[in-house]
Amino acid sequence: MHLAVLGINHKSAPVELREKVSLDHERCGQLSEHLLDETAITEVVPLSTCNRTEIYVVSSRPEVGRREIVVSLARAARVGQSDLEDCIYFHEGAETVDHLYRVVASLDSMVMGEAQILGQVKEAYRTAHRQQTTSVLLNRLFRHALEVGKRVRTDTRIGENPVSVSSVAVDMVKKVYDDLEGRTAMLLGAGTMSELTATHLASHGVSRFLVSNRTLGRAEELAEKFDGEPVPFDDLVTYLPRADIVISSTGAPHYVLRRGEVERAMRQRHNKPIFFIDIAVPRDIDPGVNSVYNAFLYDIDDLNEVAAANAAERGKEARKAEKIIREEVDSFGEWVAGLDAIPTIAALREQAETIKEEELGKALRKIDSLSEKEVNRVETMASAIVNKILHSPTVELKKAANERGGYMYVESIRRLFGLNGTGKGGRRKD
Amino acid sequence: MDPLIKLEEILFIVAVVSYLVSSFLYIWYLITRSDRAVKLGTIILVLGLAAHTIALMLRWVSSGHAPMANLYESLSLFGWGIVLFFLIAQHFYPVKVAGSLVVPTAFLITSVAGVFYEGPQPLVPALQSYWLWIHVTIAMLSYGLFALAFGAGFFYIVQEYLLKKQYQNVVAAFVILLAALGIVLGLWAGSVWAEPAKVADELGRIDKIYTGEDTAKILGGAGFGLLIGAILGFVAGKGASRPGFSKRLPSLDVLDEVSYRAIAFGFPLLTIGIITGAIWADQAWGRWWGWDPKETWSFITWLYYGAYLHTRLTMGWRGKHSAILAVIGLVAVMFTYLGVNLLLSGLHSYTPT
Amino acid sequence: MSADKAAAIKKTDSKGSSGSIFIPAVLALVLIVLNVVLSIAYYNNQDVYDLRWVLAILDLSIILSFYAMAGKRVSHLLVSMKLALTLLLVLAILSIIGTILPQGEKVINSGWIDNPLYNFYRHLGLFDMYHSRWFLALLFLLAFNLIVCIYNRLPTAVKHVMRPRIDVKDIFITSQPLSAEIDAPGGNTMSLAREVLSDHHYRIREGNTGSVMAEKGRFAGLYSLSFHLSFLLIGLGAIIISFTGFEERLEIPDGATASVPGTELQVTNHGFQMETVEVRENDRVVGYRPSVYSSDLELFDNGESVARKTITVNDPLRYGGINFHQASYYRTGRGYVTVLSVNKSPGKSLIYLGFGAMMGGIVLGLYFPHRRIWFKMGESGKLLVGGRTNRAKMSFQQDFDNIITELRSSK
Repeated sequence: MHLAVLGINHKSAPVELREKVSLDHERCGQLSEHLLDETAITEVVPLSTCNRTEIYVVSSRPEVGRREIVVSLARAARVGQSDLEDCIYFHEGAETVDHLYRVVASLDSMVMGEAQILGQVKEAYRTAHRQQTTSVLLNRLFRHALEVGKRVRTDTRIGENPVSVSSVAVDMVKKVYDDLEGRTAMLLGAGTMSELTATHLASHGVSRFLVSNRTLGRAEELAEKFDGEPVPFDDLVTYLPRADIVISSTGAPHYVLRRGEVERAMRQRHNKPIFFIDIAVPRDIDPGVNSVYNAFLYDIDDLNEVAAANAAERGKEARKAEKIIREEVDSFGEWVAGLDAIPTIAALREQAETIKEEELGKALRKIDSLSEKEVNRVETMASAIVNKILHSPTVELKKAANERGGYMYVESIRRLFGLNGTGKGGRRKD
Repeated sequence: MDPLIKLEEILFIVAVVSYLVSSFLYIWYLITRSDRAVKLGTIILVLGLAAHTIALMLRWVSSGHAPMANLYESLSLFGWGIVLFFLIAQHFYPVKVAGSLVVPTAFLITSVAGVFYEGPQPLVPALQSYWLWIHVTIAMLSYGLFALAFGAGFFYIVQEYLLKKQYQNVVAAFVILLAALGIVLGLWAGSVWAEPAKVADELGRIDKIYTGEDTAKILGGAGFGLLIGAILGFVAGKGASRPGFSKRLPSLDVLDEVSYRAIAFGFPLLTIGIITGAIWADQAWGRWWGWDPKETWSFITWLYYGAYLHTRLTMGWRGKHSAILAVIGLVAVMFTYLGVNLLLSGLHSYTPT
Repeated sequence: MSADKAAAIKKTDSKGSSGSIFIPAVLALVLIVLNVVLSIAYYNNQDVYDLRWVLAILDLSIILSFYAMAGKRVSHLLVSMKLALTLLLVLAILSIIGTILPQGEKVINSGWIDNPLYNFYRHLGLFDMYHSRWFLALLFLLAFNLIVCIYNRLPTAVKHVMRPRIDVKDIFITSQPLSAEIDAPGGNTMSLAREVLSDHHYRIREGNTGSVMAEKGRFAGLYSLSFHLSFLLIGLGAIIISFTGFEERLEIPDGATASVPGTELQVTNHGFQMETVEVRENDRVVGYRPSVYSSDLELFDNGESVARKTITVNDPLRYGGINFHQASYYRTGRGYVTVLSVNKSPGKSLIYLGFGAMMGGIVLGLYFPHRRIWFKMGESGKLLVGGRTNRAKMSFQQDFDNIITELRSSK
């Protein structure tokens, strides 16, 4: 039983390659089938998202893993094997567990702390389980990994502080208006950034959108998208009192909104707050607006500053997450050790017994002058030697099964005595 | 000494120490967001409250009346009420962060109560009426609500400065708050230090006589308090002056609403408190209003919060202006509650020392 | 009020008053002369006549006539909220001064009496702040302001209750804070809606154009009116007491009899009793203080015994509108002298009525939200339902959601 993972992600490979290697369900399934049928691999879970493609396997022999998986993956993704070879990473044993836990805790994600990866891992595992490409080890590993992912999210605040500009903007708006339900947002300029922010706002309950753009056509287009109302650009000051949130991203070379206009609007709306998000460069909104009573202005620099602060905060939380992962990797190792100790002892004894029988047979065949009594004595001696030699490893293994990090002993024993090659390859049957 | 009284004293000290430890844990939670700290803080707070509850009950038994008759009893009960309400609120709403302000406040009030400790004593004749607990409970509830409005108002101001990125104002807000608190505590410590001569008339009313030296001591105490408060405020303000800190506070909407609602409920309660006081005074002395300092100051407080409500309801004030009013309002409340008893003489100061 | 409207008012204001500056000027002059004459008369004979009320009203009138001379309308000043707020704050500040300076008799024992400007300060009313002419003048102005505000709002408030807005347009309903549209295939949707709402204890009121309003707590809107009216009642009560009531201190040694001034009543002290408790400090008895004290009083009306009672501090003797309170006591060489406070306050019932109105206003305002729900068949053929409340929005939302669910499910 040999655990390994092979994969590529945003750190190891350029986006062009990642795009190609990103596999859909069907191809994942084919890949799994191929690996199980053609190699010594006994369990497979392929995980493929837009930023990473990873194949988790359990193999009965250690050497089989890497090359065979690369070949299969290259074939499934229809890319050159050598292209892939340069961009992959490969982990074995406990490192595999550590890697998966880091992935599921989103420590390995492009945006650290993002929440989607947990769902993606869950989905990948479910699919693999449905297709019966998993067994005891991967079942246990993935179920445990999902719990680790949840624990990291509840025990640390890694996902709490947004780090993208548009979600930082929404986060700040929510510090003025607790509930965005039924609020009105005004979009000045119909760029992609303001559209993105508007989408975020809509998902938080903002229901009315006023859209204003130099070219009315684009405004109408965007207004339709958000079920909003197009507003003539020259007339936006008239509509300003209705807006609780203003997102500005026009390409205007000068200020589109001035302090005086905002002051007037503020009087008309009886000092209900307005939150201005100015993501245009050069800026659209007079910085003096920030000092108007109950007006709050964030430009792109302000938002980036908050995002950086949040990222630093996430870094701190990441350290807490790392600690949790270390604990959990150990606890998984313990389980594996417990699982492995007994069969390892059996295999060890079996191997020793076989060697003893073989060697006894060879020796006895050469010396046939021995009486039956003497033969018995020699056999007893051989058994005693085997038992005495194996006594200490057996006891230690049994002890190690219940100890933290004990799986290392098991693995060492298997390696030292060459037990892996003779392991039970038939695990997939159950 | 009566063992019951001894036990009450010990339990009271246990409560004060628990509140102190819990305060540190809640502040630690604000800084580090360590869940373990807040869990431990809550457990210690609950234990402290239990000890405090038993202490108050013992006091009730040994004095034979509700524990509201002197400053020690009243302050102790007030601190107890704050902790009780906070624990209930924390159970139902996400207000753990507020604990970093509320629990130290409760500690401060309870420990000040300890300074004014007096053994159990029967009520003076004027207080021997069922109006006592009605009047006092209602008045204290209203004070508590005004204190809540103050807290929400203060954090509104801090949150607004944070959201407006005016970090120097955040520092200023903390410096002013803690310096003001420092002055008050310094004044009080100074007056304890000065020990002014006290003259009591036969009814137990106290007048204090301050000499020039006394005044110097009191002013010195205030100056020292101001200095310490300003330094602490500067440190706290600097700590809070960063973009991420706004996340630890509730939204402006919520803070504004809490502050306003607390006053909207506190004002009618204060009104009822004054009415019950007037009816009681009419029964006791045959006059419903006599411009006694306590009466006058409750009237001043009432005028003030009445004005606050009018600015909000008829003039459409909201946000920072209202928050500033709510913050200043507590000065009037504290003076009505404590200042009158400690600094002015009148029918409400019964301290028989 | 829109900005245009306000500007228009200002314009007519300055036009209308510029011609009539003469009248307030003459008025002010007359008032000032009268004020000075009366002030001199009052301060020279303070113990004989109490002219403070008159003087307070004169002070007030002078300020208002100056205000008129400045070209502004007094009527606008009197309804303004700014005036009310200013008065509240000025009263608060004067009250604070009153608690700092020694008031009434206390000034005699204070250092102030040696101050060269003592008489000036006294005439300013600094040592009797709450009864000074300025304080009274401000109270009057506040009362006047209150009366004008109540007068202005009363018709709308009453109309709100008696003839609320029932006939509304579709857009009015859909733009309510809570609104819903319900498919209505059958012809009986409106009567169904009436039924559901009456089941929820709403009062149904039919309009003339097909819309219906259902409301709850319709008197709740009167809480503010009730609250503010109560001040007038209390103020009126206070005025009546100060004109017709009296308060006397009677000091009666044990066994002696005293007459109540201004009445035919005589009261005999049959004995003063006192119980004391020890005052301890660190387990040492450092003194005693009274725990209970009482006087056994007998009252005679025209020489005839009419009442006998042992009074304590919280338990006075009441007879014919006159109350005998245990105020204090002192000790002489021959024993205790009880100090009684005898008072008659004929306006007290008004004050209590005021307290009642105040409590009523508070209870109405806090516990009876005014909820209104309008519904009608919209032009789209759907049933439009929209509602609002003046407070407790959360529980109204629940109520509203329940009603909508019932309407949707019981088609």
